Amino acid sequence: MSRITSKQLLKYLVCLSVLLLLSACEVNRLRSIEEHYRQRRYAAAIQEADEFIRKAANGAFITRAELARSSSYHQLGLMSLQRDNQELALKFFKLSNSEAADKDLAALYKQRITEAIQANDYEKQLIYVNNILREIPRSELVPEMMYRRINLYLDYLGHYDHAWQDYMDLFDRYPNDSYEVAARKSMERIVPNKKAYGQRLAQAGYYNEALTQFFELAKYPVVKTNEINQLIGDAYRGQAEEYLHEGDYLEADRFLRIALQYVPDQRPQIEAKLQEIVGLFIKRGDEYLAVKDFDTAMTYYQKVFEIIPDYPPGLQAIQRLNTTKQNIARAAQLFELGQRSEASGRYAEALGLYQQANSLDSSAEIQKHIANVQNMIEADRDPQAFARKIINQYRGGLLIARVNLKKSELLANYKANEVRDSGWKFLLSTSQYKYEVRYDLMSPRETFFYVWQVNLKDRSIIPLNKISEDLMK
Amino acid sequence: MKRILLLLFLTLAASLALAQKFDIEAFSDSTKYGWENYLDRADYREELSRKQALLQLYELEINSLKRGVLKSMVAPGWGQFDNKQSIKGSIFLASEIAMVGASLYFFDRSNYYYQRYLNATQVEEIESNYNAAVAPRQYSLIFAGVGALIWAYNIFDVIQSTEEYNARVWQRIEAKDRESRVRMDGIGIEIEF
Repeated sequence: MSRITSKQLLKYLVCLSVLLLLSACEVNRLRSIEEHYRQRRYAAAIQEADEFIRKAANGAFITRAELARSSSYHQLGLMSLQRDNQELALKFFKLSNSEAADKDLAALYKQRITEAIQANDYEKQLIYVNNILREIPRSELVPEMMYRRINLYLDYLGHYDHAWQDYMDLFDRYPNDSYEVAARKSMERIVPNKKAYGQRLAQAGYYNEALTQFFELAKYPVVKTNEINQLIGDAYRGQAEEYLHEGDYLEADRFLRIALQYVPDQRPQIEAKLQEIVGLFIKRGDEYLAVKDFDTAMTYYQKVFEIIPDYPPGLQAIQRLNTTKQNIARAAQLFELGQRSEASGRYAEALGLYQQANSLDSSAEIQKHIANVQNMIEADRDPQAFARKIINQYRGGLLIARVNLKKSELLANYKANEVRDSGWKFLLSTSQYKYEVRYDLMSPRETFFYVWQVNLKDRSIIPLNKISEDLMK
Repeated sequence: MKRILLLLFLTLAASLALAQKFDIEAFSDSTKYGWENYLDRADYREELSRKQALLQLYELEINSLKRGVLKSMVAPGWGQFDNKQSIKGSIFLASEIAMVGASLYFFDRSNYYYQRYLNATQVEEIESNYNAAVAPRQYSLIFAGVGALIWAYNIFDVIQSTEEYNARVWQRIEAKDRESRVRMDGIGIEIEF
């Protein structure tokens, strides 16, 4: 009895173990999917895979199930093609979403493009070409499709910018591919317009935009190198001329030099232009030197050498600048000495020093001092005579003339013996260099007492009464 | 027999009634996985390619299910040790040793009394030895049975734990891969695609 019990127990245990093993394994369910695929039961494989992917815990198994599902869709797509069901095949290839399926999908699209070409339906051609380019960007058909799209844009849609964009992409990604080489011919229809547009931009002063246009063209083998270099060189020269006009000579120089790289045959003209720029620098420096802005003047002279090193006129200009600076320094010294001499009453010496200073660096200040010192010398020599001279020379003898006129008026109204005058009287005034000048006119009914103060230092005349003031007007 | 045939017939009828018609439109709907356009498809493919590249690494790092089962069949708990579950493995091993030990002990006791029963000549002695041999035999069987159950559960468990372990291996590999694609520095975050 005990032996039977043991055997039965063992049997139950074995059954239980097998059941547990079968039910526990996630891997068994994955194997089932893969087995379906191997047995070409693709729909079953897909359905089980969908279920498995939703529920499974192990990411690696899910990945394997996804791969099996992808392959199954691909096979279903191929089977649909065999049965001439292209629509279904398209869907299955898309669901497969793999490199292999993409290859078949691209072939299918290409077949449809061929049919559209035969039917002369360019819209459908464009749709399928776009589908390949957009959905299967790594397809080997991409260069061909880009070429086709370029021609569709040019032939049917007139989208020249899009065609150019496609060509650039084609060249950037597949340089020297047979389709890229073929597309160069198509680009001959666009390039002249693009060149003309760039030239128009340059003529309108949009140099950067024009250069962008030309450089874009220069990157691609659709235009002769000499031709595009000429356009670029011209644009840079135009830009340089503009900077020249604005007075930004360094920028003008920079652009001329860049232009020279593109159009070396124009070297003589460009170098002449550079020399013209250099001359303008010197001229501008001279202008600053004239107003004694030495730093700015030097900056301009130095810029000359950035364009033409050791340019002789530039060196001469700097020499001039240094001499001027030395003269000014010397003039300042002489002026200071002159002031000291003047202060100590040595007017003749001061005058000499001031005149020397003025010859080195003429200024209103020095000239004023020269005039003052000359006045002082004359005042010292004969102050009364100098005062007379001042009165006589005042506005070309205005005072003398008007006094004489007034006297004539009185003589016309009165008898000669009735009109009397004092004559010009010069009297020392409040200080050494100030004189009072009087002239009295008397008639029976009218009297005129003119009186002024003359400052010998600065030759100024101040009226001391109303009628004297009126006479000076 | 009739009952079995009736049962089979009913099962077939029910399955036919419940079976749904295969919907080819739904089956071939190219948006059914949430890929609304080519960009979504490209994203999915990118992700799948990334995961596919990790499968090789995964195969190198996982524990073999077959090997784990074999090990646990030979020594309960061994497979769990491989899956880094040393406590569980120790419990299985100790339990199995205890059950087998107890079973052998009682089997030995039973055999001892059974030999005495065979050698006995007196009726009373025969009866007492027989009775003394029956109880240990039953205990021995019970412990052997429990031991067998533990052994079987140990096999079931090693399958579960190996799959869990392997799932964790995948998660770790994937996380490491993501980390290697995302780099953080003082300036910002850089992601490799």
